[in-house]
Amino acid sequence: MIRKNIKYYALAALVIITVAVALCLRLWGGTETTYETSFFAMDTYMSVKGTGTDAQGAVEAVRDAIIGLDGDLSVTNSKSLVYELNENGSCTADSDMEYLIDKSLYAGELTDGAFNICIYPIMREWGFTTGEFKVPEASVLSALCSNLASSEVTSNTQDKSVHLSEGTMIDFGGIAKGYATKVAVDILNGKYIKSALINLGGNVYALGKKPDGSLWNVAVKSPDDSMKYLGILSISDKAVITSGGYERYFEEGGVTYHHIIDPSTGYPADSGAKSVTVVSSDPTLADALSTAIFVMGRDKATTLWRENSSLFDFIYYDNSGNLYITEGIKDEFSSEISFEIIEK
Amino acid sequence: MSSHQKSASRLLKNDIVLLAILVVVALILFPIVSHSKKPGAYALVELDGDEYATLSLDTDTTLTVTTDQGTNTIVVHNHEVSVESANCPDLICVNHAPISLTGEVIVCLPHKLVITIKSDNPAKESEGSIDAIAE
Amino acid sequence: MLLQNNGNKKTPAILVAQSGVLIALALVFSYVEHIIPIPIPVPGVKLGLANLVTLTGLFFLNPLQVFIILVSRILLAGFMFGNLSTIIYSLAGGIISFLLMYGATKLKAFSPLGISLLGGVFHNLAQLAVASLILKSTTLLAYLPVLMLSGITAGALIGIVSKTVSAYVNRRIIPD
Repeated sequence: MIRKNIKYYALAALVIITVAVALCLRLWGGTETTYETSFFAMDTYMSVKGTGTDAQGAVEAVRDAIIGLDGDLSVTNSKSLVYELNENGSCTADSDMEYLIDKSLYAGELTDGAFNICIYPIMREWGFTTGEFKVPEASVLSALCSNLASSEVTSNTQDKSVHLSEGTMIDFGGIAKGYATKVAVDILNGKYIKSALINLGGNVYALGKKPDGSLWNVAVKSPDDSMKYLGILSISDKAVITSGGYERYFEEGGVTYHHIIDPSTGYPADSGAKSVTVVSSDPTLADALSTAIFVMGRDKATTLWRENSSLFDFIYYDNSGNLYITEGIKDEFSSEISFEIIEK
Repeated sequence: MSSHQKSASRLLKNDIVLLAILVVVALILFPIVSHSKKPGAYALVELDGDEYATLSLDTDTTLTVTTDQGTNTIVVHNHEVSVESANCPDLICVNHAPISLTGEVIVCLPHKLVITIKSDNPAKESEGSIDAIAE
Repeated sequence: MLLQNNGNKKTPAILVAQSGVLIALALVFSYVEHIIPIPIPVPGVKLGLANLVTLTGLFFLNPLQVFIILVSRILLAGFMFGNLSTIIYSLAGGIISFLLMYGATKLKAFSPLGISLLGGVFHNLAQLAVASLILKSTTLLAYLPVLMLSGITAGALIGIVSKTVSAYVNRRIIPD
């Protein structure tokens, strides 16, 4: 019976092999897919969307890395390296910390101290690190500020050791999301993702172009009306990071205190800025600069930009409702509100 | 099986009657369900039965709809709507001719996406073209 | 013999081998249709080559076996070339058209051509009904006449091919 039907079995085998080969070819063919995931980390909602042959693998790797970073960079996590550094005044840096300290010191230098990771004791005094807000005594703040002025972070590139001067404590909170974005971009690039949108709680990075080849459209939220935008940026391979006093604040005695503290006074920055957005290909720097420019105000920011216009551009919206953008993004930016272009 | 051959002519007659009935029904249905040929004002994008976005036909825009089902890139160009790319298995939405008249539809069954041309103006415009909001 | 009349006894081995070959054949048809789509941009318009296996099978095999072949093919093709929702649409169309075609063979009123017409048209109608339910939208009904005509055309073509194949199978395997 079997001998008689051998050609039918052969036929069956042939057909099955053909289908199997077709299936394999389809899987190997590497169709591009888009995968998006949302998660909660660093006290905010994050979403990552990528398109590529292994979009899911890449996007999930990003998610895992950012959730890992959240623990590693937390000043309140007793197992983190930052905690160890703040407790002991010294530690041996890992690659994350090495990069972060390097960038922080660079940003501090660039902004003449408007960005300072050593501001942690002042932030803690205001309760911005815990949510138990209070207005500190002026004498306490002035003491902390004079200590901050003499704070020093020294890192040794040879043995990777980091030392803090007496009474100094640091917090990477001001650039953690920017750094997380950088890590995400590195992972996505390493997994050959050519198109992705990273949105870490409003800190946006547009990687490559949209799958259809057009630029990503990133709107900048208006601080006056959460349903409106200051404008739309059409960009590629750029981080868009916004700082505004409206993000986190509390009221006491009829006064609103927001979370962007001016390191020179110890009080919430009062430079006239309402919302500052920095556009840069370096997300870590963009994160630091958006805070710093909010503290510095428009005039100092303009000087800083004129000296470093290849590094970044910014969008500045002040308390009187005036909108300014730097020349480098004039072709990328569109808005229904009139705006002034800051030229070189 | 031999009964098939014996009464082949009778069966064929039945076949032809059936064919005629089906064709007539289809032809009667045509004018009933076909849409008016007026130019539309905006495209309504529905996902799984819910409104997802509205796109004005007056502005050229590109909207990428990504769900756990997959992605469709909808393009408005010269008052016409088409699906430029998608990762659905059949790609019928991508091969569909651009639509612009009221009532015309592009459907992506695998992704549960329906794009319908509507006549009156939508409340929100260009909202769909924003990919992310920096805040 | 690969195709045998219902009356003959079939060992399980033959049944399995026969079903396997026919599932594979139907899968190849599905694959051919997947890689060479008909250039009519209406969802649901297709030739339904794989229906050739169901239709022809109904004349020679146990209907349950045909049904198993049908469902296996839809599931396998869905996993390979489609996704969950294409499986749901295919199952709806496939099962409804199978039931109608099976009923029609029992009636003995139609030749394979007429049976195939019924199958083709109701396959499309069932898919349209399921799609309207899933999408919670009546906009799809605009496709109704087009899908009916496409079902008629596809059904007629498949019916003619099946008729030819049936005659051949009949002569070779069950000589008069």
